Amino acid sequence: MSEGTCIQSQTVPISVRHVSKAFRGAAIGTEVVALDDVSLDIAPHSFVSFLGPSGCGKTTLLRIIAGIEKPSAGEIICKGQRLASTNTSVAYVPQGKGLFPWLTLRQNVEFPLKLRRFPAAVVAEKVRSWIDKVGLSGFEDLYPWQLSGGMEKRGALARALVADLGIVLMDEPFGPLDAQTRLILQNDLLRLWAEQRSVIVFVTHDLVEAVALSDVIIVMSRRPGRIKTIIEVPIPRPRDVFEIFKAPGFAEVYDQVRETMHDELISAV
Amino acid sequence: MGAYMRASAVFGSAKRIGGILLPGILLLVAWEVAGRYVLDTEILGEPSNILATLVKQAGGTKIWYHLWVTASEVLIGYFIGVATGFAIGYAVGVSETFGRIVEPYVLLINAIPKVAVAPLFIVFFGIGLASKVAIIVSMVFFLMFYAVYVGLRTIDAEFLYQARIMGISRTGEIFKIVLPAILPNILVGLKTSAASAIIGAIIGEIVASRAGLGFYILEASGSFNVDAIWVGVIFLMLLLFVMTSIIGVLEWRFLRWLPRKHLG
Repeated sequence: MSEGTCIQSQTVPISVRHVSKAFRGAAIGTEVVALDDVSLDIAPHSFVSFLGPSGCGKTTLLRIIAGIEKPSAGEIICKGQRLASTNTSVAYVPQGKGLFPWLTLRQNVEFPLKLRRFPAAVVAEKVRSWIDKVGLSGFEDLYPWQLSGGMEKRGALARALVADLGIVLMDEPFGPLDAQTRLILQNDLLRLWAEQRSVIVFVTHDLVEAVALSDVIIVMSRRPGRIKTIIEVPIPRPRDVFEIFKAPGFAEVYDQVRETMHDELISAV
Repeated sequence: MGAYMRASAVFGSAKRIGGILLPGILLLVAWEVAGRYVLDTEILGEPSNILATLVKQAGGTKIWYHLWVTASEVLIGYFIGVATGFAIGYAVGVSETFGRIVEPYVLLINAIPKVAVAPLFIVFFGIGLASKVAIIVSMVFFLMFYAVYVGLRTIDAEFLYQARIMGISRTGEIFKIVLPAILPNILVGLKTSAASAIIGAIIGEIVASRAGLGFYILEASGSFNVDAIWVGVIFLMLLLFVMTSIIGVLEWRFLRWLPRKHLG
């Protein structure tokens, strides 16, 4: 890689350029437009959320950035390179089950490192330290079914962060968890992110979650999926997710986001 | 404490094995008792006589020779059937075009009752080993085919996507994601195939043969030796027990990751 692209990759880790996506509809010959000409640049070290009601194309956009869905038009530039197939320069935390069920927690966290041929000693050390950081020491040899939902998600976080790729894509990662566990995991995520400062692209339909975690919220509208507004969240860090309602600036941003989403939520029903 | 735990663990597993054996023993006792009063033991046999015949036969070489003949038919047929079923099932499950063309044929051929065409196999392949192997393959193939095919069709594509984002290679995809994901299906295929392979061998031997446990049972029923029929059946069960035990070890070793859940 040349010096030039390195510098560019420093400035814009992910650039979405005029991306559209149409799916074949249920009836023959019809099309559902999930995304319509979406463009945005994501700044280095920033925590960005895609917020919108279900059906707004936020997950589709994330999957296009991950390269597991192809755009109908437009392109993704990731770390200075045009994305042609699966994006192997990011980590991805999926919506559903986070870990491979046939591997133990330790084997799951090792998996991306072994694929990238890290030396065994490095693998062992990184895995030990990340399992420790997400608070799962002592559970290394358990299989995912033996872990609680929250523990499995922590394992998925460790697996995403362990390779230290600089970009983490998360698709409603805390969706299926109970409210209490969600708060704890959101707090943990912010703590871990403060250490590593990767770019995080976070898909959610939860307004409070988006405000509590993000630097920038990209509010999306329903069919066809478009960017409606981009809202900066000026709440200072470090943030305490449990007390986020009392944080300076929270009320203003919350109202701003809520108002933008108001018509969306009404038209959604 | 440690000794107590060990002792109670031993006691616990003894209790479990006892719990499994108890209904069988009760059934045999009931059979024996009923044989004294109500059952016609000329037709059904009775456990004490069967046991005596079993001991006598097991002491000789004849039954072991028949077991050897059947076991070799079963093992050869089983491995060929399992291997081809796996290979074709995998190809059909992975490739959509190939699947669309081949799957209807597999479905059609599977609909042929194997018992009905068993005599054809004897005509084609002769009275010896080959015809029995062919019958077994014709049964085992489909079980393994559908086990693998269904496994591949129901695999969660998200696992593949995740692994691809982590930079997995094409061969890595097969060995680290696809095969582990369908392993439960593969083991179900292996297990059901074991019983079918034995049934296939016996069908073939009963249609036409000069040796094997099916031949032994047929001969015994020809001379109306009920106890000997049962002895033949017991040796068949022994064969199946050995095969399923080996598969059980594979399950214990490779499927520890499956949730241990029971309905109800």
